[in-house]
Amino acid sequence: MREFNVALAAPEWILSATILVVLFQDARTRWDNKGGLGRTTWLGLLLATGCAMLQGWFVDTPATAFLGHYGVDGFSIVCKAIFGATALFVMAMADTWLKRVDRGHGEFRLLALMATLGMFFVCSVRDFAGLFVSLELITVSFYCLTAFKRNDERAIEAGIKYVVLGALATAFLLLGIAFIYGATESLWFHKIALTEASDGVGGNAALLEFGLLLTVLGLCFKIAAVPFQVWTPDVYEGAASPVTAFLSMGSKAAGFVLLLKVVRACLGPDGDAGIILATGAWAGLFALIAAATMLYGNLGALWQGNMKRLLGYSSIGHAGYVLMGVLAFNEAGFAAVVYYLMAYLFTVLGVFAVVIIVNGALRSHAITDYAGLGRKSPFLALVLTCGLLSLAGVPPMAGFFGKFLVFQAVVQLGTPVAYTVAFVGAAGVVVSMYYYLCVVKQLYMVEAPEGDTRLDGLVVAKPLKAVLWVCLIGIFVLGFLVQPFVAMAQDAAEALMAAR
Amino acid sequence: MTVGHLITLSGVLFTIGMVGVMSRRNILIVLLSVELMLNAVALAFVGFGAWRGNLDGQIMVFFAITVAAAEVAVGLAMVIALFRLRLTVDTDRVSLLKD
Repeated sequence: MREFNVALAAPEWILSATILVVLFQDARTRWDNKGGLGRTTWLGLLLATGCAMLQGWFVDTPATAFLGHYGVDGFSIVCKAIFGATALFVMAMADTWLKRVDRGHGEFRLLALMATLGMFFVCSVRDFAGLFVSLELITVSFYCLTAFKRNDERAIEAGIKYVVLGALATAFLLLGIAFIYGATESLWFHKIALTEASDGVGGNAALLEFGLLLTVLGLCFKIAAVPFQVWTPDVYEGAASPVTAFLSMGSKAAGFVLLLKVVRACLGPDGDAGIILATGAWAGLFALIAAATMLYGNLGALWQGNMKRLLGYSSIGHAGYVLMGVLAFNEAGFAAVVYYLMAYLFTVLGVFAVVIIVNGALRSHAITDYAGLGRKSPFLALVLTCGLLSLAGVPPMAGFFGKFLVFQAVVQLGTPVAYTVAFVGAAGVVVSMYYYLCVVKQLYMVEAPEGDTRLDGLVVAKPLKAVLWVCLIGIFVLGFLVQPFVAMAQDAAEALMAAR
Repeated sequence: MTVGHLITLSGVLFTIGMVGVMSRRNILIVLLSVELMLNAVALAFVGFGAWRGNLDGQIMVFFAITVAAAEVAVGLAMVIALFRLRLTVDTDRVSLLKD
């Protein structure tokens, strides 16, 4: 426990080294010769992800480093694989997108790598100082990425909205950490359960509960849940599409990983609902947040004519579904969250890959402009359709099984609150079916206007084509060959519950 | 002076900052209010640390200061970019993105 063990953090070391190499390489190459940066980024990301996954076989987990502040266990390895895959997919999208941008290639890759480094640290943190710093590494990188197109008024507006709301949420999160620190006398996650056990319900319980409440609210910003969800559609619309894709998967998943860690820290040592979470008020609070988030996201998406705004509202809705898995406060719920995130990875990134390709030709995100894509580019339309159906939760796709596990975990609780939130979730799924199918209808049933040749002969770059295929296959594999992936998610949840 | 005084002061400063963020329309004032909120939290950390006789709180203050500086630096950079494009720093006049 109490040793440095620096080699354990090899994935993070590799990413940090890649960041430095990209920094120097960017300074030493001419503006028209930035191809090497892309190769370095790819190499670094592949090595770091591979290294993180190899730790699953070669490291005797759970292991800790840096005097116990950094930990590797089954949960962190699965999460790092998810984040590594996200970063690789996003980099493939960015390669295509950066060809349309004449400057700032180095900065873009650097910021994306830093956000990925933050996501890797998020998986391994074991105290609130690490939580705060790694989360802010992600957030500040994303502020810059959002406003990356600095001559575009929409991007700057999105960036400013993101910074102001993000800083507000950061303040809430930090105040929450301060109160937890006041109650537990330390910044360790595992001290929460110890304080609960020794103080019972009196003493510092009020401080601790207030701190936890503020911390959860602060994390709601990252996962785009009520009450900190208002930025989502605006930022999704204003930011460049690869950034939006990264936000919708990476940033959201990082928030959920931390939320799971905090909730786990409040559970008793045997994984039973600890004194605070057992009071029922907390299940009610999470249920309220989840229900409000699902309603806001799914109802808001109904009258959107812009594809990225639609995906923004849909992303809020999905945060609500995943929160249902969190509020189960047990291993089944946590496994459902991990599986949902795996399914969401392939689904949402597949959708965004198509959005980026189509936007490259259209220069617009209006859903009406997608008319006729089914005839002009059947493969892209197929990937988009499968992605949207998977988001909606139609049976043979990955998204269905994610939703199934989440609903199962909640219904098994058997409390009135659980049934209510499951009912709201089911209503949300029905509503979401409508707006996803409206887009699908646009692809196949509506013809492009006469003389609109913007979608003719779309050329898809090789890395992006690979992303499309991997996402398409992933959507079906996680829908049909469910067992190995559910087992993986369950192992991760088990490791999370065993964490000390 | 007890820990209660410090936490109350921190809470008051935090609330002033929050009201500022919610009600002001000038982005510079909004960023200033955010800074006030983060520094109020830093005070709470020091207060709790002194009460508990524990140094972790003071260490967190360093992180808080660093992160607050990074956030405000990025925020000010965006304000400059916005001013170049629109010649305004008023949030009411920046509303291209809406439903």
